[in-house]
Amino acid sequence: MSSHREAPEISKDPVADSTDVYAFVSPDRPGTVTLIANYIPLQGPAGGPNFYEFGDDVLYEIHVDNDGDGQPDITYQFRFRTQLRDRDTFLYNTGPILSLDSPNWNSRQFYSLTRIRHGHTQTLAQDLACPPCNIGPLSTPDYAQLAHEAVHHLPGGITVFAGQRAEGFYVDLGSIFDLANLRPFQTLHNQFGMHVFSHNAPGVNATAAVNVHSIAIQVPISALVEQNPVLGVWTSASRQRVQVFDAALGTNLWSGPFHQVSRLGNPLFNEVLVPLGRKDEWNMQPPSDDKQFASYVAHPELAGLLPVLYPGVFPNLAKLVAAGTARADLEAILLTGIPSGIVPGFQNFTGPVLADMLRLNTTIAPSKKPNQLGLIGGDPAGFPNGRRVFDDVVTIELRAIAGVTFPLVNKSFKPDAAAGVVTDGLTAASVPSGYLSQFPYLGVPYSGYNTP
Amino acid sequence: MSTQSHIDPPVDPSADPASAQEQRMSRRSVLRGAAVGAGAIGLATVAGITPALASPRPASRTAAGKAGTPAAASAASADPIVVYLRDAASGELEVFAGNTQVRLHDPAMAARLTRAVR
Repeated sequence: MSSHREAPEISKDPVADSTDVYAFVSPDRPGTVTLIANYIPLQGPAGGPNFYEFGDDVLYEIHVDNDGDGQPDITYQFRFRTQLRDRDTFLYNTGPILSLDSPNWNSRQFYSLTRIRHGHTQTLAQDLACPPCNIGPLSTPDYAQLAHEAVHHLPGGITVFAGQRAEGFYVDLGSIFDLANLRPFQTLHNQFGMHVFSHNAPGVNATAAVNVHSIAIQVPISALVEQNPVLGVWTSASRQRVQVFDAALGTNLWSGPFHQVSRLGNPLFNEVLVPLGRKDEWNMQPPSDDKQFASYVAHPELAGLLPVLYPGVFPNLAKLVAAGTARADLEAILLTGIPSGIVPGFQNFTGPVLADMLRLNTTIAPSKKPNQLGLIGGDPAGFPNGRRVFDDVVTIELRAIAGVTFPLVNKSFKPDAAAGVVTDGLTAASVPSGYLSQFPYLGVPYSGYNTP
Repeated sequence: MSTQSHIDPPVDPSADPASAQEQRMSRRSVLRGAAVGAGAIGLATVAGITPALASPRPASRTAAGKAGTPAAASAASADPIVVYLRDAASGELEVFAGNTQVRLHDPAMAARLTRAVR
């Protein structure tokens, strides 16, 4: 997955588990940037009566670096507060929820938004309402309208939303985690000699019917860009250091300073590149310290596995791996941004500091005809120039690791034919909810009734 | 940061064996209810804390000023105090309250805490 349950510790703490980050110039408001951080992975839409909600005890943050040091220049903090109207019912709602202040809605969440800019803290808003979860036609009969009411417009041209959304990330988890047996190419897989598959098959979107919780903020570009037009973006979640279960109160008490337990910049970074023994450590580090993880980018384990799992399919990649050649292409894409002169007319370079961040060149206008393969599909408005909600990051990163981007740094290298076509077999059309053309861009969440 | 803490007369678990028994934990566990500082906040105060205090709401324009630190007051007088005896042998303690943490070096206190749970 992009970063769903990607590390041992955070997989046990879904409320603080970041799953995806998006950063893009808003297609319908090109003077603004939209930043989205998703949390609480793989929500079964029918998961009541305690439907999913943000953690009141978690500090959620979206960070923006504008001087290339891998440290935040601007941070948006989100803190949540749950309010229970009636403690004497087991029900999430006691009738249809027709508005955000509906008396029928029992368990509501509110949040504050704080901005930290160069050490100056300012609360931008308090007591902003979240929408409920999408329960079904009797409980949330006009969910789209409810969610629309939860889009808040703040002074300074800021728009913000926090609440449930349909999962927009698509991936064939079943095949990838079954020893990278990509269904469209499974007859080429070595199958460990078991000869299980005699036909190729289309991909299956494992996240086709699950929801996430999104924190989304839209900000004027002028409020973020101070020097370089390229923004580095990532999210983090932090918890206080001490948790004590007070049996007398029947609740957890938290104490002490906050400590980062989850972070996410580029999709699949911790998931696919960082080894199991260091994933928890990675989650606790800031991007500015990512030099210590750079070897996993320069020599990705998956690049060595592909030629073994698919014998004869990736001979040139196999030679590259055997030679021990550092993958400067992946380092540029994931850790520094792509300098000018590599891809004609494009750069999202932030400097020499190795830091896992989404890097968005805000001077590149939204594409009128987006290609979900982003830059490798000839569309510089997409990943790895930031990331749009519909970008096919699984295929892009599979192909990059397979060698399709190595000629950017070594023109004598000829990628294998398979590197340009390898995919898990999914596209943005594999997402049943589709996407919205306006903020918050991720689709209406799947309802529990219709998606049991 | 102090290298030697100033401690009010400690809560003596031996005066209440039942209470000590209930709180039996391993040496490296988080120890709750130790009286530290002038307030000598004990278990009775902790029991009065509401869940809302475990997730303080941010206040406007507080001094946090950096990522990873919420815009909230540091430690209110009603916050529970949690003491973590990190290393009984050296007397290294970490004391938590609100959003704050201090590290103390107090072998005598460490010895009392250790006796209390053994």
